[in-house]
Amino acid sequence: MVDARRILVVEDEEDISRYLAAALEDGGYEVEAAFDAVSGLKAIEAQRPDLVCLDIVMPGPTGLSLYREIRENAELAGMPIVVVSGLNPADAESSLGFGETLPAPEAFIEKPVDIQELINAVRRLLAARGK
Amino acid sequence: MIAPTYENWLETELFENAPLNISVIDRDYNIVKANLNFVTLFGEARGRKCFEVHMRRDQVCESCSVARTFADGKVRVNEEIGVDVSGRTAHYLVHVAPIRSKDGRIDYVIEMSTDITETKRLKLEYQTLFEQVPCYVTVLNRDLRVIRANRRFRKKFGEVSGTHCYEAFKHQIRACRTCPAQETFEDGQIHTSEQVGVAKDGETTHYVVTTAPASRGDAGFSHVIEMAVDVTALRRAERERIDAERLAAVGRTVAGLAHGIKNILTGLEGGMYFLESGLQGGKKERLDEGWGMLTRNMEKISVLVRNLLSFSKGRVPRVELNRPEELVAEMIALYRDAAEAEGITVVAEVADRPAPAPYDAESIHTCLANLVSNAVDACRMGGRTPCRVFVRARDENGALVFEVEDEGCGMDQEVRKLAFTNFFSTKGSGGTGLGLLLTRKISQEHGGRVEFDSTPGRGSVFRLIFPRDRLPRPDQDAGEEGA
Repeated sequence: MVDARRILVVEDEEDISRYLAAALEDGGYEVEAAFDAVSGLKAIEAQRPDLVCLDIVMPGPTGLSLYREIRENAELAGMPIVVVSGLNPADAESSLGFGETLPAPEAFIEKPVDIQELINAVRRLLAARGK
Repeated sequence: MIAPTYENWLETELFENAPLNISVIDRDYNIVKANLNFVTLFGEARGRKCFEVHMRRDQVCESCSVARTFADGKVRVNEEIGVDVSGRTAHYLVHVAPIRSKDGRIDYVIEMSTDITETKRLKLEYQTLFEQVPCYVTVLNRDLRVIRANRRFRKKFGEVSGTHCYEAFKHQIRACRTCPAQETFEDGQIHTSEQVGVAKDGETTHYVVTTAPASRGDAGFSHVIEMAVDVTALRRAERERIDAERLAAVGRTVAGLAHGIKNILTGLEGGMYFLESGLQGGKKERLDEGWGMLTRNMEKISVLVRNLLSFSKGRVPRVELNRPEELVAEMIALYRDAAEAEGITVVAEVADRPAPAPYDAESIHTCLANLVSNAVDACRMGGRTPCRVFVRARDENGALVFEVEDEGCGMDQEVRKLAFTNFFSTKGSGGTGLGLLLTRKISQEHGGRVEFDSTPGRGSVFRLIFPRDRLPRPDQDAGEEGA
């Protein structure tokens, strides 16, 4: 598996992080984890993952600030992001500005996670990028 | 020349020099004599008809007081309108009295008038003000009875003249406990208070009433004037705003709760995923991992439910006399070791031991534990090592003060604003967002309050302040347990 596609999971809740990582690994992906937005950004810059699974509500700088950071960085802007959040997608649109002040994420998976839906979204996005 | 005595003056000069317009009129309405004031005002009058001179009319007035006095011999006082020599119309107060001959016959009457135009104008202005002013105006006597009420009052509360103000305003049989009119009668000062009354149609009416003494110069005062401004619409708008805020708070509460539960559900789902995949693949480490996740998330949901119950219902407090320094020691024992492992030092600072105080130890323990837990988390999030948390208790300005200070991440203005909002948490999935809210609720139940200062990057200090005179009294049976 020298060419496994790499996914970064940014999620402060360890149990959820382990769950997502295990499910994605079972789906054939290589997974790294970061537990806050700051270390998430460091990991993205250092490792350039193929896709990021991102929680929004986190202590300290939120997932939203990391999302904005990625989208506003020319080198990272094209990186597909799957938001995995306990927020309601409609609420997220209005309160976080997705689709208005910020480009919408490529996929939004609401918690509790339908793991097959997550895997399908990841497959679709990576396939679209030719990976 | 000898100065005349006042008797001489009355006999010879009163008629001419009295500060009144005086004329003598015969039965044919002819003016037979007029004094200087009269002539100055109305021109030469002798031999002319009174209605012609006073009113510029060519026939007798419809309601002629001169004619009536000739008829019945009575003295009359009337208000009349006259037109003077310059054409100016004015109001006059007119006295008409018969002049009897020795045998009792009335051949003449005397008419005396005073210009009251200015008085009349002031009275009209006062009347207009009283009736038209956009508030309820009443005049009360010392029995608190309504002597006068303006039109707006009568329209709202009915015709109430003579009834007690508390009956008129509130349909009560006794005076109000707080009565600004009574206070004004007692001290002669202006008083204001907000009251709730009942209009004649039964509608509840909120009004702000101001009472003032109706002064009559040095003679003191025997009446109070009461002006009430209707604030019902304002109170209704306030109530609607509060209801809307409550509804919004309920919305936020539900959204926050849903978010927290979704995270826990995801954790439980994760546990099941590990169990299933462990069972299918025969991987014991996955089974162990899954079991651990289920256990942890079950505990989380238990904590959430407990916090919710504490917040919504609370428990029956058990108020006993406690030693505050013991609570500080409990906090140190509870948090020191776990915090130390992360490079965080929890320090007790009780320089002057505060006096024992009555409170529910378990509730205050919850408050202080919330603050210390937050402080430790703030240190963790601040990333500074070593990082210290100070737990203090002291007496200050008649209040028992518990203080928790940390050298952690601190709060920016946005977080400070939301600190006491339910389900707001900076701890992501790690917090329920109920801690500070519960802390404030318990503090208020003990007559106290929560204050805090915070600087981003430097730390925060939270204080529980309990004024000793507001702390609850110890329960009667509080000391009997275990006896």
